[in-house]
Amino acid sequence: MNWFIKLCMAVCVVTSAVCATEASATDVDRTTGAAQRAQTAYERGIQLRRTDAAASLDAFRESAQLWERIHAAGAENGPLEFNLGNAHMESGDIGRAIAAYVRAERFMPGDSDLEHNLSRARAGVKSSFERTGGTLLVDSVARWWHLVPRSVRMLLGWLCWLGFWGTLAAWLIRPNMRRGGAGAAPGAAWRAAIITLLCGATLFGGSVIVDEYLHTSRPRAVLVENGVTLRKGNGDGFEPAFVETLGPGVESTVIEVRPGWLRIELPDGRSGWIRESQAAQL
Amino acid sequence: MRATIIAIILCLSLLHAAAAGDAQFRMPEGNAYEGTPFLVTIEVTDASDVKPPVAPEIPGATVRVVERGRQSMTELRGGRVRNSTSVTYAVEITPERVGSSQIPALTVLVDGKELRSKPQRVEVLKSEAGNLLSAEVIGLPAEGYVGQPLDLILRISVRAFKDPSYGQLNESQMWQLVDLQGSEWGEFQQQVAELRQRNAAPRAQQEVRNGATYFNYELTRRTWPPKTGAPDIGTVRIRMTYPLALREVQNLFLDRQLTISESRPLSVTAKMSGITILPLPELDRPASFSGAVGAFAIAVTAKPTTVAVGEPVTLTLAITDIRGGANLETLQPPALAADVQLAKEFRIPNEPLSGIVSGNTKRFTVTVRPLRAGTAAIPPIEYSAFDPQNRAYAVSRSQPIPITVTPANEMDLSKIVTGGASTTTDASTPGTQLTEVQGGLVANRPVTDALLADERLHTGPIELAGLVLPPVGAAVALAFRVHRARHARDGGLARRSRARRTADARLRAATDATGLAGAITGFVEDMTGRAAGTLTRGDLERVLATAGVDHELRNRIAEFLGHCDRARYAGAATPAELAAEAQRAIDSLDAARLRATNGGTR
Repeated sequence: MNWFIKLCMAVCVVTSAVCATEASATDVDRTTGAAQRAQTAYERGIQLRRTDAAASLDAFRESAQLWERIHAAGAENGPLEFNLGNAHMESGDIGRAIAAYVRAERFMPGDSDLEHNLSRARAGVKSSFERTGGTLLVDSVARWWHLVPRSVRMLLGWLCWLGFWGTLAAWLIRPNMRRGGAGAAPGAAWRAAIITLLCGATLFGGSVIVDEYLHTSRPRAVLVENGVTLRKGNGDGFEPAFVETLGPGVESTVIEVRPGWLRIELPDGRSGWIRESQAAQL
Repeated sequence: MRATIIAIILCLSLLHAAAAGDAQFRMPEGNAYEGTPFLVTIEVTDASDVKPPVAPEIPGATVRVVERGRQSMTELRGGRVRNSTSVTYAVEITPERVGSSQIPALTVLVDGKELRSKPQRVEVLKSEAGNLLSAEVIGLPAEGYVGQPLDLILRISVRAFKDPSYGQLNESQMWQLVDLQGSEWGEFQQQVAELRQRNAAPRAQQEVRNGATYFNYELTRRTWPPKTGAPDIGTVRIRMTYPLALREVQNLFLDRQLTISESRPLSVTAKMSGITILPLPELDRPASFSGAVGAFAIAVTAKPTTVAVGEPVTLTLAITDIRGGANLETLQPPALAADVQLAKEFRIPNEPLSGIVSGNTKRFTVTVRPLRAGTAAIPPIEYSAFDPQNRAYAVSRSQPIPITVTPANEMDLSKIVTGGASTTTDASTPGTQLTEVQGGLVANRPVTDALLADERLHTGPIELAGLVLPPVGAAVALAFRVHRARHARDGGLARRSRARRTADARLRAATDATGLAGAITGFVEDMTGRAAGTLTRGDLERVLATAGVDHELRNRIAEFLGHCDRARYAGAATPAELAAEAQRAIDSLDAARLRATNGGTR
């Protein structure tokens, strides 16, 4: 028994050391200050909106820059992207606002405030395309798990995962050995707990993994510049794919990446090449 | 040999020819009639790839191509799977003018090969339907005003066919000869669709003209012309198959039926006769006129009738169509804003009102607010309309409604009276219904630690540890459980596991040769599962042999135990060499991995 306890202690020590290393790598104090400054700039922009439009716009831009810095420092979550989207939206950068809102959607799908602001931003997009095709089944199923925020699902997934293995281990080493050897079946309570935790881990963790897979397998991009010309190839020498140019806020799927260029597919299935700088990749 | 090869090639060629698609063109026979379509049928058979024919340009005719049917077949021929398709196309040509017309060569692309028909000349005759079929649209009344109800009547007159042998066809039989689908019905499309749905014939009147019987079918459509001039009825072209001869046949149930043995197509375009729509006169047009045409009466109710200044009073304006026939759906409400008397005492919303039609009455609801205390009544509200019967404007007025308006207590009128139009929204008074303001953004999320979190799915060391360590822990627990279970099942296992440690301890504790010998025999007992203290020197040789110890080691052990006996009887202290030899012996026995013997317990 002694060796088992020693092993557990060793595992705890190693895990604690790894956690300590990770914690020290994040500079929480710096980003907290920046968040406060970004929020203050945003509120200043709101106050100045009716009295000094130019100063208000500057304040919103400053807020957007500060939120971007926090984002660049490694923070990525729904509220941050929501606030960033608001700042971009108020400063008139509709493309980046939509990009931020769509990123926020990954973390807090179904949030009514986010849906409101995103629809408001999308309403300002001049070019609209009818969506064709789509993964109806996945979207329908995902709508159910999107009722629970991603962070909650992730937390529950971890708890269920650790709980499952912990319960399994506890059952294995429980002192009551009346029923015999290693192959003995667990009792009803044990069985219910183990199956429930396994299902929980699969559902919650699986939904986060599927979300992540969908995000990485179908990378999206939002146009952030005005008058974007979709070309037939990855270079300015190629002919335009369409006569009309596209404005900021048009959402698309990235189907190919070449140095400095992206091949995007519009919601109606048509595609073309744009410069990488003309879109915010999600 | 040569002849055989030629024969094979010929057969293959024939097979290939049989496999290639073909097309048959069926051109019209006889003359065509103006306005009556005729068909050129193209039957493509046994083709793998078919491109439909292109509608040719024919001067003085409209042409369209319709696919009539398609059949696909998969067959196994000579061990090869082959898909073939048969398609039937109909090229519908409708000549628009009389004279000779040339049908150019029609082309269809079958399996990459162009197949052409021969050009054909067709004589287009005037459809002499004048005394057989005629159609006209009349208006009731023939002269009316803009907005006045107007009944458009499509009158189709068909001469009843009379066969010398079988007599005259009735109005229902004659109507069945009208091509409802192929005809163009313009404004009467809905009426015809209803007839088709009910499989019914329209109302018909029989008329005798110049000794011949005619059936006059009438389709009526009510309209309210929005502009002056002749009403737009679209293109109304009637097509029918007029019988020239009948014959009697028997069906499967031996019932005798009349069928048309000979016929001719007829086509006629309905002419509109003498319908004039006049503009509404400008003279004596009341200020309150809002476009109503007809005879109307207005009645107004108010609720509540005792209010403070600025409080809402809901007026219900009921406009009743006295004669009936007016288009209440498009009827406009009274122009309240133009009512000087009302506007002087009440704040009237600017928003357009929407009404609800019930029978001959349309009701509008509007919320007005008294502007000053002491207002005694809601003044009569007038509703003016143009009466086409009298050819003059008529004004109807509601009765004044007594009302009590008290001074406002603490109300800011400027805030209250900006309110809405009708029944639903009242921006000033709190209630259960709130109108959402469109636009604007929802505010930022507050600055908390959640704003700084990184919620991306990471695969760092912590996550890796979190994923891997729990299963490892469970595996260790499983190993522990297996280990414990084995020990529980096999009582000697724990003893064997401890045997070396026990022997080492005994060696360290031994102070004489007896202790050293006991360490050796005790180790063997532990390893072989024998009871402690039961192994004699004589048994040891046999036990070790049974346990698989080789002869040399057995001799060494026996020799060592002999030394121990001698030392014990000599009573001397344990020499260091003897202790070292005991340690080596135990090492060797440990390395030999003694098997449990039958005398032991497992």
